[in-house]
Amino acid sequence: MAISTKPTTSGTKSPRKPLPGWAKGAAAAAAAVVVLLLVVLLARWLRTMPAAESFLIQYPGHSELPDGAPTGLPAWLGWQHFLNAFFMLLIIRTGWLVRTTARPKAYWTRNNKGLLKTKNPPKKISLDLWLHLTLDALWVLNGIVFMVLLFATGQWMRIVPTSWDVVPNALSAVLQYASFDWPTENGWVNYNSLQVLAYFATVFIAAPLALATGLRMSGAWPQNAEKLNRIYPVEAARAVHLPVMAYFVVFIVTHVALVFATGALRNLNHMYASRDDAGWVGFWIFAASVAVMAAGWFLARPLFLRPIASLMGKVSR
Amino acid sequence: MANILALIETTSTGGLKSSAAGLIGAAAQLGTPVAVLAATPGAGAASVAELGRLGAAKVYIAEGDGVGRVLTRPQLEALAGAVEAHGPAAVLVSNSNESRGVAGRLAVRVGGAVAAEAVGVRADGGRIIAVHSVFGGDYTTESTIEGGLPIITLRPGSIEERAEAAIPEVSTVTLVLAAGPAANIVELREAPAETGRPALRGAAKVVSGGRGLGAKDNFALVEQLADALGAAVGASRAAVDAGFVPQSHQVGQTGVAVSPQLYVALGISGAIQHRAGMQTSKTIVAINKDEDAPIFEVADFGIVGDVFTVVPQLVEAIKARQLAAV
Amino acid sequence: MKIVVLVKEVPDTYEARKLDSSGMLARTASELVPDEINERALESALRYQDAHKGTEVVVLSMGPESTVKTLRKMLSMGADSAVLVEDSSLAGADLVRTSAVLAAAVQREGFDLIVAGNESTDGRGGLVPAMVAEHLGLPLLPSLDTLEITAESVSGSCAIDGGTLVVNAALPAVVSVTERSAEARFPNFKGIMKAKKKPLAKISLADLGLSPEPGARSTVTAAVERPVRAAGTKIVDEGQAAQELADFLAANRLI
Ligand SMILES: Cc1cc2nc3c(=O)[nH]c(=O)nc-3n(C[C@H](O)[C@H](O)[C@H](O)COP(=O)(O)OP(=O)(O)OC[C@H]3O[C@@H](n4cnc5c(N)ncnc54)[C@H](O)[C@@H]3O)c2cc1C
Ligand SMILES: Nc1ncnc2c1ncn2[C@@H]1O[C@H](COP(=O)(O)O)[C@@H](O)[C@H]1O
Repeated sequence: MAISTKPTTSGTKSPRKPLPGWAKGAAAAAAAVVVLLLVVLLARWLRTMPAAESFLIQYPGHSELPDGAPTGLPAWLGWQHFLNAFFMLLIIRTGWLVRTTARPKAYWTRNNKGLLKTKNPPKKISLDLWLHLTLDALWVLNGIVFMVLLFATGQWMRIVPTSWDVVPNALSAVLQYASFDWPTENGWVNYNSLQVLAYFATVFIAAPLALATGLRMSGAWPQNAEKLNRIYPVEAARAVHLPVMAYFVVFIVTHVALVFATGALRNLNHMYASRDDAGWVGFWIFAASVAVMAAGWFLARPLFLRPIASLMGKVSR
Repeated sequence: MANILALIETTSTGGLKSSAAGLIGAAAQLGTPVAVLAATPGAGAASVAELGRLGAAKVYIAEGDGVGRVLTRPQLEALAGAVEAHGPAAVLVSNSNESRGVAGRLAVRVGGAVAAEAVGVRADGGRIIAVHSVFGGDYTTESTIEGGLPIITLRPGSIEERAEAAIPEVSTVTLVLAAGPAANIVELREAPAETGRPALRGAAKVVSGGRGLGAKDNFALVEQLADALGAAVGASRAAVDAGFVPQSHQVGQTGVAVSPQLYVALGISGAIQHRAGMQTSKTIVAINKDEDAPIFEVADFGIVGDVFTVVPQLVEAIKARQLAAV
Repeated sequence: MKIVVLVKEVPDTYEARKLDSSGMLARTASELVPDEINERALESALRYQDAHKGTEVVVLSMGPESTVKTLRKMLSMGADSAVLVEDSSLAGADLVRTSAVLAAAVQREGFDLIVAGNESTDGRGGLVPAMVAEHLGLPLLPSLDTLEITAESVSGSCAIDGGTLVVNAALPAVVSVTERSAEARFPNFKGIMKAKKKPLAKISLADLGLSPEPGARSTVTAAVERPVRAAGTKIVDEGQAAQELADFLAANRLI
């Protein structure tokens, strides 16, 4: 039948909702502030106890580095760090899109010729997933270079715990952070133990987990390896992949917040300008890197991705 | 009773198409069914007996050379002639690719109006009401026509009513097509004869397969289950696009809309456009390995599982029961 | 060659579509987009244009002001210009009325070939192309799965009950295409920028010399929403599912 259209419509009132989203958000934020306040008060009170004070003297918050540990952050590390941040940002975004988009705007099918020629016809995937996987590949490549340089230069000693006192030292750092009387170590030379644990977990646990679970879910995984797939079912990978992403988000947010809260200019100089002073150079390089990331975020849309994706396959609806 | 014209569709050999029964059945709901037929010279008479069996009280045959060579115009001239001869209260035309253009042109020519793609008709006092199923069955609407001849196109396979057999009164006229621009039929490529499975439109049971079947060869699984159930075979657009089956099997918004007793969806996600063609089915069964597939929202019985494991077992189970029942 | 493509704006089929109590489309209930089938119709015209420089492609629509967005999208895909027939008295126009208006507008525009979709996704009438053809006294090749345009003629194939018809007609002519016909291209960046400067004319009924009163018309007398389907049983296959389904089918006398 013919559906006629009418420019105005009446009576499309939205039903009354129990609580608008912003109100829920505000309530949650208020609760979080209260909890934080309590934590700070508790930590402050603890620090008035002599026992706690002597614990802090015994464990200042960082372990001694092994002999021969390098001092300072080389330029390659700055680059690695930037590329890693860039890829991660877009990987998280595209991963989220893959998960939540019910109706992808475009699809991509691999050209089945040349190096990557397979017997089975290639699967059609959404353009979001294509970008996610492409970025994954670049991120892994970057990660491999990072690992090689890390171990070749001895930089690994700064983020891999080498003695068990990292645990009490990390506790000590927690107490110092929570009491807003922050650890005073110099990141140019040595991270505090909480940092060491967090960086170690991110580089050596979370990243490999993200890779292993992502690989399992990807089309590259052998579908017919029955025994392997029984030991490592795709459901398990799916169950772990998202929490790993959540971990990364929490890590990034805290990391960035602390970088800014604990001597921003100096920290930025360390990572972005490989220098140990409080000038503005690192900040400006950092600002430029943020601009690049924002541009990447903005440009990662079908309109601009389609021409790139077309080079590697067929883009269709 | 008022005359109701029904435009009859014919095959290349002059036989009646399956839409005839529903058209005449619907016409009988509204008044006296008059079957209108365009035929090649001398070929019309052969259909009269069959039209009578289907319930046509009158048969209007227009014979001319153009039939089968020129698209639409012979049927249009036949129908326009019949309108003049019989002064009908309504005209019914199948909403098929070949016939609906006739309805559209007739409306323009005689100053009528069209109620398109009706799934039912009824007379309500002096008015003729067409019933429509819109947005894939989300709504049922009714429409009527004011100020002109009502021309109603009927969704193929949607009319279940059948008229009582009659001995028709026949009139035959000669069809002359005026010279002028025309769409010519160059060739009719007959589809290979059906395999004995029921046709998709109007089938009581339908088994459809989607992209989840993965490959053309695997589609045999859908056919095996269809045969075990005595069902017609359908498909999603993705399956059609992938070349698993011809387009005529597509169920959905832009394919066939079905409303069977039983609809089985195998490896079909249940996109809104697919559901638009099957959600009014009486009982819906879905097998899909994704537990969040939207098809489960409309399924009466859903199995989260692999079609390649479940369907062969199901075929066995059905066969076992059928044997036990004999 | 000048090709006019008839384009309709429809509610996005990916969302639930709503009618109000008078059977009118509730326009605010879902996003309005160019009908997918018309993007394919445009694609057919653009493919000819790609191969034959000097071909002009015009997109024409009848609809409310908002349709401008749809027409801009078509321009960004590659159409040369757009025409929108917009008139408050056209709200709720039925098929006969719509086709009379479209026919008058294409006549005013001039054309060698008119390309339409076989049926619109909101109405599924599939009648407008035939009616436009009748108004213009032209042949229509309906519901083409394949389409070939030459300088003098069009031809293509159309699926019918029992087979496929191969049909042709001399130009000028009207054709309608199905979703088999051509997959529409995506607008690219250049196209989007260019579209902003392409001509988009808005014309009213008075411009077409048509009276605001329709003649015979079809009106909706009732619209009832289908009750929501109750959720059924959902089981996870652990080897037993086929048996359980067979039991279910047997219990419902379906086998
Ligand atoms: C204007 C328009 C009109 C349209 N018209 C129609 C129409 O008429 N008909 C139509 O169908 N579509 C139509 N579509 C397309 C529709 O949006 C969907 O793209 C299409 O229905 C998807 O088909 P599918 O479910 O087979 O494929 P997919 O969405 O790819 O789903 C495949 C499903 O199979 C499952 N699966 C995979 N492997 C297995 C296995 N081994 N065992 C069990 N399950 C498995 C997957 O979990 C998935 O849910 C239209 C779209 C538009 C825009
Ligand atoms: N209001 C309109 N404006 C422009 N074209 C239209 C309009 N309505 C219908 N059409 C054309 O006619 C085709 C079939 O529409 P319909 O007859 O409504 O199914 C559509 O795909 C369009 O190409």
